[in-house]
Amino acid sequence: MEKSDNLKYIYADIYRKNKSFFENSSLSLREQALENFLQLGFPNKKNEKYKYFDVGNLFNKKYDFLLKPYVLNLNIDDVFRCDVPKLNLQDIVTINGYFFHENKLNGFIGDGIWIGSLVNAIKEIPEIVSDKINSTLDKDDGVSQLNKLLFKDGFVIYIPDNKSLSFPLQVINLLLANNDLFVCQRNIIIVGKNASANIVLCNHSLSAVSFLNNISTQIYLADNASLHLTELQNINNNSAQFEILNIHQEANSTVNTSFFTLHGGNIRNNVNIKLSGENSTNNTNGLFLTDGTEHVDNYVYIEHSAPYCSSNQLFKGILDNSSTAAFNGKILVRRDAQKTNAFQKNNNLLLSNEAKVNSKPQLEIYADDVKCSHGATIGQLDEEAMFYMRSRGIGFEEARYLLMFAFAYEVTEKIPLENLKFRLEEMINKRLRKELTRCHNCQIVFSS
Amino acid sequence: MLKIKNLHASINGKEIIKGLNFEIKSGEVHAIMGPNGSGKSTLAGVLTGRDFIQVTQGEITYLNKNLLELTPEERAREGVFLSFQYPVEIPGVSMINFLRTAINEIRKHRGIDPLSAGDFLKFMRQKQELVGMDGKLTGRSVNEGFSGGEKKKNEIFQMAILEPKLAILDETDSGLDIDALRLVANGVNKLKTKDNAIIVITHYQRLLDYIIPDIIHVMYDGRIIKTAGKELALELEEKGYDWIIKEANL
Repeated sequence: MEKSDNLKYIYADIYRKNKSFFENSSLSLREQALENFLQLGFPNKKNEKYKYFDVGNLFNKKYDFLLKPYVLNLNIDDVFRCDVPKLNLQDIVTINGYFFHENKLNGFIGDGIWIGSLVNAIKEIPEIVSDKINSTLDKDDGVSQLNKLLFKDGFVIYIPDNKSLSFPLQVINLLLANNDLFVCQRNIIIVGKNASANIVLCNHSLSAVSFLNNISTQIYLADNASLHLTELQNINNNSAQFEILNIHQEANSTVNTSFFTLHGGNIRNNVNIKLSGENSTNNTNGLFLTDGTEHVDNYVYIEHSAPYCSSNQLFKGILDNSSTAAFNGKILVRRDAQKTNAFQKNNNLLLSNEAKVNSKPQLEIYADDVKCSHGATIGQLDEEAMFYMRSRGIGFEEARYLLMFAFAYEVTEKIPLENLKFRLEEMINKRLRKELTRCHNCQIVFSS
Repeated sequence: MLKIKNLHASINGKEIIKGLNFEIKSGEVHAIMGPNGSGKSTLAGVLTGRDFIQVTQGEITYLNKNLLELTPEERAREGVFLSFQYPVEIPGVSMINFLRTAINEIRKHRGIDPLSAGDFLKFMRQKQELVGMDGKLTGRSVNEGFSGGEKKKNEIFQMAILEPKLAILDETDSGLDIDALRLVANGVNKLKTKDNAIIVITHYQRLLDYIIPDIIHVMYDGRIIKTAGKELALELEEKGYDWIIKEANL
C-alpha cells in the first residue's frame, strides 16, 4: 500500500470519527465526497497536473483540525488593521476558515445582497446556495473532494440580479493558532444577472506555526455579470496554501482574477474555469515572488464551451535562491466554441542559478475558427537595460530592483482600484527588497 | 578633462582599439569620425564601462581620476554621460521614476540633498522646455514605444537633466530625419558650456553642420589617424575616408 493510501484514511477519519460536528451542513454532499475522495486519494506526481507538486508530502504532517472555531474575545480592529489605505472598502474576516461572528457585514445588507458564513447561508438562504456548494469543475481532484468532505465554514457573497456591490469588499482570511493547523474553508460567490462586484481576498498567517490552508471558492456569474477578484497570498514560509477557484461563467460575463503571491512555503493555486455562455471574458493573472525554498505552483484549466468568448492568462514569477515554481495551464476549446480568443503567457525571471521553474502551457482545440496562442519564457534580468540604468548613475542593486519591479508591472497595472494598486506595488517593492515579512500593521496577540 | 594614452581594448579576444591617444579639455567639442568598424562605438563603450570590452593596455584619466577603476554608475555620478546609439526600452520603469532615481543617486554621491517629488517635477519641466521634449513622453515607460527621433531626443533630455561634465554622443544622428536632427542638435548646443566637454561620434558630416566641433578626429582600425579643425568635415564629405587612410599609410 502506498504512503498516500494510508494518508487518505487519516483524513477520511477526521470526518468519519467526528460526524456530529459536521451536521450543520449537507451530509449527503459529504458522503458523496467521502466516497470520491477514498476512490481518488491524494494525487501523486504521476498525475500530469501535479507533476511538480508533492501533495502527499504537504498532507503528510501532523496537524490539528478545528472541529469548532476558537472562541476569541477580541476586537478584530485591535489585532488586525489592514494597510490598504483609503480604499473605502468594507471587510469581512474569517479566522482559520470560520466566518468571524463579529463581522459587521453579516446576512442581508440591503438591495437583497447577502454576505455571511457558509454555514448560516445553508440554513438561511438554502434556495440560493444549496446547488452552488458543489462544483463539477474539479470532480476528478482528490484534494477538491477532501475540501468538500471537511469544510467547516467559509464565506458566501451573494449579489442578486441587477444589483451591484457599491463598495469594494475585502475578505481577510486569517490563520491564527498555537499548534500546526489544517484548515478547510469553502466559499461561494454568486453574481447575478447584470450584477457586479469587486472583491479583494487577503490571506495572512498571524502565527509562526505551520498551517495547511485548503480553500475552495465556487464562483458563479450569470448573464452580463462582472467580477474583479484580487487575491493576496502572504502566509509564513512554514505554511502551505492549497487554493481552488471554480469559476462558472454565463453569457457576456466578465471575470478578472489576479493572484499576488508574496510569501508562503508552498502555494498551489488550482483555477478551473468554464465559459459556458457566449461572449464571456476571463482574465486570470498572477505574480509570484519567491526566495528561500518556497514553491509556488499555478494551475489554470479553462474550458471554452461557447462561441465568441475570450480568455487571457498572464503569470509572471521572480525566483531567487533555491525557490521553485511551476506553471501548468491548459486551454480546452470545445467544437462549438468558434471564434474563441484564448491566450496564455508565463514569463519567469530567475535571479539565481539554483532557482528553478517548470512551465507547461497547453492547448487542446476542437473548433476550427479560433485564435489561440501560448508561450513561456524563462530568463534573467535584461543586461542592456541594466547597463542603461547604471550609465545614468543608478547603482547596480537599485537598477535590479527597478527592473524586477518593471517585470511585475505588467501584472500590477491590471489591478482595478488605484489605491489597492499603489499599496500592492509598495508591498511588492518591499518584498523584492526582502523587507517584507508580513503586513506591518498586523500585530496579533493570541491566546485561546 | 579626459586624457587617453595608448589605449588597447578587445572584445572576445579580438583587438578593436589598437593604441589610441586622445585628449579633450573643458569647453571643447570634439568629433570622432570614421568608417564603420573603426572602433568608435567600442571607444564609447570603454569610456562608459561596458563589461564585455577588455582594456588590455593603456590608461584613461578623467578629472585626475583613473576612469577605468570606476563602475559605470560611478562614472555617471562623476559626470560622464553617454547618449546611446540604440537607447534601451524599459517597459514598466516610468521615465519619472527612472530620472528621479538617477538624479538623486548622483546628488547623493555629490553630498547634495535629494530633490523632493515637487522640485523634481519642476526641474524636469524646465529641462523639457529647454530641449523641446514632449511632456507626454515623460509620462510613459523609459523609451517604450518611442519613435527613433523621440528616443534620441530623450537621450538629450536625460543629458539636460543629469548635467554631465563629459558627454559622449554616439551616432546621435543615426535614424533621424533632418528636422529631428536639427532639434536634437539645438538641444545639445543649449547644453554646451565652458565647463563641460562633448565628444560627438558620427559617420556623417551632416550632424556637424549643427553641432560645430572645435576639433575633428578620424578613427580607423582602432586608432586616430588624423586630427584637424572643423573644416576637415567638409573635405571628408566630399572625398570620403580613403585618401586619409592612404595618407596615413595604412
